[in-house]
Amino acid sequence: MNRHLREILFILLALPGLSMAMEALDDRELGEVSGAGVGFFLDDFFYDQGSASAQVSGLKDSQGNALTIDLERAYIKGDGSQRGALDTPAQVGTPLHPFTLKVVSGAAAPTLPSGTQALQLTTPTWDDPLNDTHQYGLWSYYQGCLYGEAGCTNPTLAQVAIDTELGGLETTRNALLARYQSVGFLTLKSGIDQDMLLVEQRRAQVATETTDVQGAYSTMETLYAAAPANSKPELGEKYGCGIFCGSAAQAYNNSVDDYQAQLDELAAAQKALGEAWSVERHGYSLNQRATDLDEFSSLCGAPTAESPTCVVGRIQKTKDNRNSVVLVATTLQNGGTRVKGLDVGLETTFSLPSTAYSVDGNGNIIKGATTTRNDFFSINLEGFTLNGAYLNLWGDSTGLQGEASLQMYTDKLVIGTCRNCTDANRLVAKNLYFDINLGQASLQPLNFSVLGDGELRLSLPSVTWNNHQAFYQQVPKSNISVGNLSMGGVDLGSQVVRGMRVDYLDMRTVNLPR
Amino acid sequence: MRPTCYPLKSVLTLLCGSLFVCAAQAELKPMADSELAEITGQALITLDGMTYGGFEYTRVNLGADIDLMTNIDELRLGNYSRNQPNTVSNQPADIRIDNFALGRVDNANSSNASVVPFQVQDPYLEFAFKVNGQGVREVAGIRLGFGRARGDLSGDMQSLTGNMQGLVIGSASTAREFYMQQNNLNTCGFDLDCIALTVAGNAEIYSEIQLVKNGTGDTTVNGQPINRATHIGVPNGSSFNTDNALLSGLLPSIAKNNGDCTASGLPACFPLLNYKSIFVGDRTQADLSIGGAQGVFFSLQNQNVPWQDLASTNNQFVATQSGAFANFAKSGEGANTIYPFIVSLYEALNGAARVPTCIGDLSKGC
Repeated sequence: MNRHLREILFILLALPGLSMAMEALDDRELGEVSGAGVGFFLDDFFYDQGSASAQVSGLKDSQGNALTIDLERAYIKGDGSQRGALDTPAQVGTPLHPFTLKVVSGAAAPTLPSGTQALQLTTPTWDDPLNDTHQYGLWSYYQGCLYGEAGCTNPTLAQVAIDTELGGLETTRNALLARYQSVGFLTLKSGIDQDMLLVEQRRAQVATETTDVQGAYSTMETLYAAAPANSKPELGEKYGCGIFCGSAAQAYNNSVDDYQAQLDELAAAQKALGEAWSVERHGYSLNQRATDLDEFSSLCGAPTAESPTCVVGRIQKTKDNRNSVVLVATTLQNGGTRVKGLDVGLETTFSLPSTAYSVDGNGNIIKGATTTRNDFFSINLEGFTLNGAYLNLWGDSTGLQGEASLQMYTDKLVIGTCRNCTDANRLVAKNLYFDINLGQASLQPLNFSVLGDGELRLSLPSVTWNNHQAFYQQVPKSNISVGNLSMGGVDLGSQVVRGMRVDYLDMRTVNLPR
Repeated sequence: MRPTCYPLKSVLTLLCGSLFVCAAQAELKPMADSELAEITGQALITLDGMTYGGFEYTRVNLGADIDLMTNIDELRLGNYSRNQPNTVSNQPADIRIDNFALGRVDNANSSNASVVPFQVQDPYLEFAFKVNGQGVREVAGIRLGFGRARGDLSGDMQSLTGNMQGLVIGSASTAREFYMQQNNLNTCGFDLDCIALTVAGNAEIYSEIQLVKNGTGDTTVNGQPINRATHIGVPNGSSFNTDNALLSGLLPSIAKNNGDCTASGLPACFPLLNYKSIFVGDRTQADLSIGGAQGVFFSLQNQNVPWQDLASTNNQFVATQSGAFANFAKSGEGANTIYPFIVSLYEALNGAARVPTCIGDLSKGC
């Protein structure tokens, strides 16, 4: 194995004493060190697999055939390495911005339940707009193109984009304000609350009827299975034997009637529910009024006056985001630069059973032979940073608990399936930002467990009536965005999942095939 | 020496196991060797390969049962400039849904509030590759899909591109009532549409609905599937149908969308924004393995990639177009058809209200 690994690892004890560039500590200073954790950073290093071979095994296809992935090449180098071609030294963290591993409680981890200590891992953290992942990631989504590339030297493109978005939101708000100006928003809400009583009653009726339909269907299925095979109709259709039916066929026929009757009752309940939504006040149906109030509340927060203000909600959030976007754009215009990230790459080959499908002479798609296909697959990250992420872990009577924030940004993610080709043949995601927040220590701890059969379980407890106000204020949302995605040279624009909060999660792994 | 590492599941199992030891408060019992030997721990992720129509596919399957309730401020895929004849709106993105949510909250504004999660089984990630004219193998598409999915899906659907096949079903009397209401009729008089709906009585009428171009009900323009649709409805040339023997011949002729987005005088195209919530899968079948919709996926591709239809029993593929694509297609045939969503005729005509997805005052945007 030929490895080129050159690194200097600094471990800094006593984080509270860390305030300036590295200098030797004297005995008195050392005596003040609490030893509460360690900080570390990697300086001037790179990793290149070179000609060494490596393999991932243990994978299978859906038929249970073993698969092996050969790692042809892997590297971790500094930004600008031209996808590993140059041995550009990398730096992860600095003495003033190290990774830290420590035990925390109280003010150091304010989300933790009182009296709880947690093991905390943090990545290097900066507060300035260009190195704070959240601010830069936000700006990069609106910017779209990769700053510094040809045609992308104006950082205020992001500002124009977010102003357009903000303008659209404010137009919608203004239209709603105008629609209910003469009514007043508290009056509007009061009317909705009164009319919703009927909706809730009828919703309950629909739920009851739905349960009845499920029960009737289940009974019909059971009796269908027990019914005679001779001249057996399709499930849901009746035997045509009339009064000459045997008991099993008759019971099944009756269950079909029952099922149909339950369906009719469900339809009637749905209709009644729809009518409840159509009750009018102020010239608008309940459905419209509720939709409008929801829309306004989403934009501006729940109204607290007949003529409400708009100081929270999506508009204010977008205004706050605009401040970050403007700050990043201005800093870049003033010549600011980011701390360089990493270049990370992986090239693999693997053999995969591949089933051929084709169209036959009759136009039908038929399944053909399964042969072995040799695939090449590469992933490259350019300018990868993980600044501002953290993981808190602790245990309690329910097992291992945690809360995590992944703050990942990369200038480019490049996925390729060809060896000798260009990015015009690959998938290229520029300005890729992952802001993934899972769990909140007090309100929604992330629980990890291993089930008795070896399967894994990951869960987040549900928001509740008792904690919903604090939950919606404090449990962080997640964002995933791509400034621009291209495949084979075709631009597919930006992609975003913004403001995602997981209100409940229960995930159990399952062996495949089922 | 050949370094070998094992896949994710084994690592996570080991990690969780070791971290439990650190936590040392859970009620843990050591496993006997015989128990450990029964655990293979290697089938959390599987890989599958296939070829079709000049494309090669690699699918990464994740074996998982997921119950989820989530609220998302904005989902926007394929946000780029389009100016094609089959682009049927001025929306900025192929898929744009605000206040997107999976799952619902029952009794949302009371102390009995309870979350009803969206259920997902076996999500997967798939890549499509194609060798181009210069002999270079390119990435042509990527999709995220679900083996099965069931539950409430809510959102302000500003635009959609793809397959959204639903079923509108209800009583002809509901249609008549709506028709008379819309046309300010106390009696049918000589209104032929009203008379036809009266003749239909309480007969069950139904129609498949799809993404359509507003004003016409077209699903294609110049032979190309539409994109960035803002409406859903009875496609141009299709009609409401009935299994009632007396009406089955009559209804298609009177309840057909002839390119003006009406059928028997009723609206046949409905704004997607009216559908605040839909139910993915069969709401009367609580068992996910029966009532879960199959073949649901979101994809991005640079050309017309055919993706394998995992809901199909006869090797069908879903034709997609360059850009972002959402597939909520029906599965099965005849009486066994499962639609990704079924709405009552009343909902179709009046709009489907949003089910609460937040606890408290807000039904969305929390």
